Amino acid sequence: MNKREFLLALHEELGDLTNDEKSAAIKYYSDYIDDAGEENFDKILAELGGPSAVAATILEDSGVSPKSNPVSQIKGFFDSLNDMPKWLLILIIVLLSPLWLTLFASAFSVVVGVFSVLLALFMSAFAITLSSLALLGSGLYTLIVSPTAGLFLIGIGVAVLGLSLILIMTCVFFLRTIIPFCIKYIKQLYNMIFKKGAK
Amino acid sequence: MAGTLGGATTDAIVLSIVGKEEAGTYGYKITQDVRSVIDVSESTLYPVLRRLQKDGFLETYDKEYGGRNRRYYILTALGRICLDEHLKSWKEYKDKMDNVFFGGKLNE
Repeated sequence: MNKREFLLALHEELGDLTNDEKSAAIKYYSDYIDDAGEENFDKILAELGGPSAVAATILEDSGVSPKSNPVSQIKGFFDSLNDMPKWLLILIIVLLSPLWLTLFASAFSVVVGVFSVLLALFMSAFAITLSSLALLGSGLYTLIVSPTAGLFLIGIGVAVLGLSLILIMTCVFFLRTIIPFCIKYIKQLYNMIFKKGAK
Repeated sequence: MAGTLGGATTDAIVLSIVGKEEAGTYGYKITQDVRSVIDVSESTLYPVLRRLQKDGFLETYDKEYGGRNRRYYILTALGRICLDEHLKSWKEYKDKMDNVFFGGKLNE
């Protein structure tokens, strides 16, 4: 780890603070490392403790609990795993496999379930829109043969069109809010696990 | 002794160290100076400085040093008053202790 990586990690650990607070802390530790001499960085790091230890002192004082950030919590969990001897880690993983395999399977099915619901929603929006258009079309045609039946069909068609608009709006809502939200968290999770492992 | 000092004493030490420098002093030097007196870890000083700054006892400014901008801490007028209060109560405490440790019998 070098100075830049330390400051970046610190910035991330300070997640819940305001930007003012973050930049003040970053400025302080940037100065601190420069004044202590960047060539002694390893020694400084050992004295300060890692970025998460430094962040914890700042967060503690500002009244924001470091635990309130789920990402740093999971990160802390992975950090503590890294400290364990490898054989113990593997043993624990193997012994707990009935547990985590089940959990993993259920998490996976929940994700699949959510996506199926979303897919079903999109499909039904599409189908209902199509059928409302079909009703309107056949209503117009029937108008020639039997005006009352035609009006009846057009009426139903307009009602169904209204329903389809509601569904389309729901779809748009999901596409614009929930999906970017999921992608953001999946990215964070991915970065956390794989960037860590690459080092 | 150092381990038994409370937060108020740490504040007083920091204010006193910053107050000695007319033109202000910077984070690393404050940390070193404080650590020469009491046993605190390197990372505990930043929250103290930040709090004293928010309470209006310290101010910061950036000054060019060695090709970069270094942030300096300086005592405000309010900080000076707060420091004087700390020193006064310290003196009272110290006099009482001196009396117990080195003085004659109490209540004479």
